[in-house]
Formats: sequence, C-alpha cells, structure tokens
Amino acid sequence: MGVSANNLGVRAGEDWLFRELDLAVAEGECLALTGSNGSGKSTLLRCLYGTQRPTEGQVRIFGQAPDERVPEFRRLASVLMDDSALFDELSPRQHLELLTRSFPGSPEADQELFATAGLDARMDVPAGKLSAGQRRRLLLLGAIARPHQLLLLDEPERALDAAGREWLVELVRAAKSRGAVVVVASHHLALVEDVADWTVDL
Amino acid sequence: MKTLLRNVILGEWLVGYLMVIGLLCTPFFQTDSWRHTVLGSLPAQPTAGVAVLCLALALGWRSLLRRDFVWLGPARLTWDDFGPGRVRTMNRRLLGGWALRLLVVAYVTAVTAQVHGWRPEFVPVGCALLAVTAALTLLAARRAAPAPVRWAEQAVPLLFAAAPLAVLPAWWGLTAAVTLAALVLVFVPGRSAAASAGRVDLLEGWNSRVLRQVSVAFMDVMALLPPGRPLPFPRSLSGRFVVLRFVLLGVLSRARYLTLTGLLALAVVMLPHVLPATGAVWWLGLGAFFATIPYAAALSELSRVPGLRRWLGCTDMELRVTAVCVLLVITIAWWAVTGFAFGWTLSGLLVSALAAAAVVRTVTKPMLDFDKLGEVAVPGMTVAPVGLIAQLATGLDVLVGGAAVLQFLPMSAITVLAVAGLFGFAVWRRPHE
Repeated sequence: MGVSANNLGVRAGEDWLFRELDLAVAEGECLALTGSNGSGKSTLLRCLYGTQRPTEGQVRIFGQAPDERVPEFRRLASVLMDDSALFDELSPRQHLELLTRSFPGSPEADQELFATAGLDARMDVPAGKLSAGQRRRLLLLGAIARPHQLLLLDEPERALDAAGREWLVELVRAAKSRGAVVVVASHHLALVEDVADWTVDL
Repeated sequence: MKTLLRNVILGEWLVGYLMVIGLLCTPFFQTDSWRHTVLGSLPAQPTAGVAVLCLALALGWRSLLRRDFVWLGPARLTWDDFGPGRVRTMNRRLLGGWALRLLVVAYVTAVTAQVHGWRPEFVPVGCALLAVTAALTLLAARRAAPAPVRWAEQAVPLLFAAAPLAVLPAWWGLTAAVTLAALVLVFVPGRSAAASAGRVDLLEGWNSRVLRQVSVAFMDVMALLPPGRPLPFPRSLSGRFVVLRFVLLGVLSRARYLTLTGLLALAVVMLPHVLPATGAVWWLGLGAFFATIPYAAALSELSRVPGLRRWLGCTDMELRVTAVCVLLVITIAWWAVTGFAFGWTLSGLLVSALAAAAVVRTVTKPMLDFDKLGEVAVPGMTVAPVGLIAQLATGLDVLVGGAAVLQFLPMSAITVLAVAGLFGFAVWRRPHE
C-alpha cells in the first residue's frame, strides 16, 4: 500500500480537526481532500509529509513513517505545499536544472517540458518577474519534474487560469499513470471529479 | 500629554538617557583609563583620528546612499497621499538620518583624537574633509541615481577608506575633489530621489524597512543577509557539479558586495593602529567572517525556507562541504590581500580559513528558538538568557575559539590541529544537533 493511516486524529486546541481517520491509497491512485477553509486539509497533508505529528494514530508511506528530515523520504515524496518557494533571482530553466541535476534519475529539463506548462517563452526570465500564475506553474513543474512515488499537492489550482487548470488535470493523470500515489487538497471540484479515485470530505 | 511629558522628562527614560550620555562622555573625562584599556603599554598613534574620520565618513556615505529614507507605508499611500506631503516627509527623514550620521562621525573621531592625540597639521584638513564630505553626502543622497551612477556611488567609500594610507597633501587633494563634486551637484540639475520615487519604489522601501525592523526585534540577523540578483548566465546550472554551480551562482549574484568587502579590508588594515592592544589575528578573523558572510546568503535561504531546500536533492553535508570549499577561496583571497599590511603569516591563514567554516556554521543554524532561553541567575544581574546568547553566538563561537588559540598559544602542530578540529566541527556538525 502506498499511503496508509490508522485511527488518525489531529487536535487544534480543544477541538479535533479530524479523528478516527483511516486511509489506504494504492500506487497509481489519487486521494482528494475537500472541505471548507480550516477543516484540516493542509494539516492532513503535513501529517503525510511528516512535518506535523498527528495527535493520535499513525501514518505509513510505502511502509515507513513519514519524516521530511530524512533525505531518503524527501526523495520519495514530491510536494507542492504552502511553504513552497522560488529563488527570485533564478529563471525557470535554472530552477528545473537545479532540481533535475541534483536528483538522480531525473529526466532532462527540455523545452518541451516548459512548453507543457506554458513557460517556454519565459524560460530565462527571473522567477521574481513572473506573474502569480506563472510562478504557480513553475512550482507545479518542480513537483513533477523529478522521480517520486508520492505527490502531495495543496490547493494546486490556486492562481491558475482555465488553461492552467486543464494542464493540472493532465499533470495529475500523468503522475497516476506512472504509478505515483497522489494526494491533493482542493476546492476545485472539476479537478476532484476528474482525477480522484477516493475523496475525503473533512 | 502631560503624563507623557512627565514620563519623558522625569521618568525612567531620563535616567537611561543620562546614563548613556555619561558613558559616552567618559573618554573626555577619564582619558587615562581609556588609554590604558585601548593602548595598554603601546604608544599612541596620532594619525588614528584621521584614519577613523575617513573610515567613518566612508561608512556614513555607504549607509546614507542606500537611500533608505525613500519609503511610505501602504496605509499612508492609500488614505493620506493626496498632497505634496510625501516628498516633505522623505526629505525630513533624509535630513534626520544625515544629521545623526554626522554626529556619530564627529563623536567617534573626537573620541579617537582624545585617546590617541591629534597632530596639529591634521586639524584643518580633518575639519575641511568632514565638512565637505558631509555636504556632498547630503547632496548626493537626495538625488535620484540611475543604475550606473549607483555603481559609482558604491565605490566612493573605498576612496575615503584608503585615504589614511596616503600622505598629507593627498588628503588636501581629496578634500578639493570632494568640494568640486559637491559644487557640481549644486549647479547641475538633477531629479530628487523622494520626488521621483513611484508607488512601487516606496512600497519596496517600506517592505525592506519592515523586514529590518522585524529582524532586529526578533534578533534574526540572518534575515538581513542580502538577496541575490539575477545574472545573465541562463545556462549556469547546466552541466555537472550542480551544487557547486549553485553555490558559485549564489556568490556571484551578490557581487555588488565587493565594495563592502574592500571597505572591510581597508578597515581591518587600519583598526590595529586605532586599537593596537587587540591582536592582528582577531581583526583578520572577524574581518574575513563579516566580509564573507553576505556571499553565503543563498545557503542561509536554504536553511530557513524548506520550500527552497526542496529544489536541491543533495544532502546537507554535501551542501555544507561544497559551500565551505567555495568560501575558502574568498577567505584565502582575503588573507592574501590583507597580507600586504599584516604579512602572510600562518596564523592569519588559519584564522581566515576558519572564518569560512564559521560562516557555514552561522548560515546553516536553525532560526532562534525562544523556548530555549536558558535563563540563568547571575550574581549582580537578574537573569541572563544564556541559551539565547548561545544560539546567537553559534558560528562566531568557533571563530572566537580559534582566534583565541592562535593568539595565546605558540604556533605548533598542536595549535594547527586544534584549529583544524574547530574547522571540522563547524562544517561537519549541524548547529544545535
């Protein structure tokens, strides 16, 4: 099993964000997390990435406890989270080269890859000069451009236009077809309907 | 209002101000005690006053010419920006900053002259240089400067800082050149920095200011390290050794700090004449540390922002070892340049190399943890936050330790091994592990 969780719960103050949550997501499947703001979607993603300890229960990612501090785990999981960031002085080309050349087994960051994200005309523009949507596209490219078994996406549709959202659907489908487990927290119902095999409404 | 006045005039503030003023005045009333502390048994240097004056003028120029007075908050721009007030506000800010710097320059020069004495022939040139440079600094800072002029402005402090190395007539030459430049600025029309700044510039200035204030309030010094600028090398990360390329790119994208490095080198050459009781190894080590740390800012960003660290697949150790190798090149270059003044000693080389490791240890330490204040009761004090002080000193601790070893132990294989051990500790051991 790719992602499994037993009796998972996180308490915020006096209240439980979620409790007694069991998950079982296999390779090539996508789990969508939905719910209103503050319902615990990002918190659950952080538990799966090992940056937050659950109050109760346990999580296993491909048989191991998630811990973002362990390099082997970081190589296994690729993420787009709230804290994802860009080097303002580096261009999209430089970002992708940094990523693909420092992660063994990554494919070449070629023009075609940028074209799929609509960034081919802005490949050499510093990230600080890109629009919010273009920055989001670059972050998404960063999340998928290196080998991974788990893909965690926190509201990936934010700042994307209609074409960008269609590309996002293709991107998640491609990750699934490569056998990755995808967990996506989203308010974008069309995305959820298109790609989710399982949905948890928090 | 009356309560406020009472607090200001009669309250604790007044006591605090009086204590500070009293302390600042002690060099003029307890000169012998200061001489003993600063000079020990060594003779005074009558040229030290002019050296400090030139250095202080250089630093004053550099800090005012950053034009940090050009900012307005978003609330002011939204609700109270319908008249000519913004230019007046910024010009008032400029004048205040300029006057404060002038006061500080005059004070540190006067203290140095009081402690070391002052050769009579330096008095007229010193006063003239102070007056015309102050005027030129104000005139230059109030004008908007296009990018090439800004580059030139950055180089001016080097001229001032190098002046003490020259002979007396050259100082008169410098004074004349500064006067000429000031006259040019008076008579050649130019745009005001305050009036020509648009909303984007004002908000950018405000953001930088808020960042500085928050960093100072939370003692988060690493947040003050400079951001990189884009470089025209689109293929710079294509090819092998991408971690090395990334670290090099981080250094090159902060190349604008080269003038500050030069300024520090000149200061380090000069300061042993002002404070001769302090050994050269301390100046070399601390100078190398502060000259190098801006170039390691990219490493600091990776340590502070997990989202940036995820772009690199290497281990932390690989990153630290690569960084220290690159920074060693800078600190050894530092040793080679300052060696013209200090001589190319082994202790200088060792402390400069150790500075590179200390920089790596500093920029890779985690953010301050205020849960670990480590308060300890100290006799005569209330409590000392030893844990916080230890966190703040992480990085510099190995440099201070190494400099102390080199200062107080005779040079031998054991001394070299001790410094090498500190170097290894700084690179291999992640801070607060």
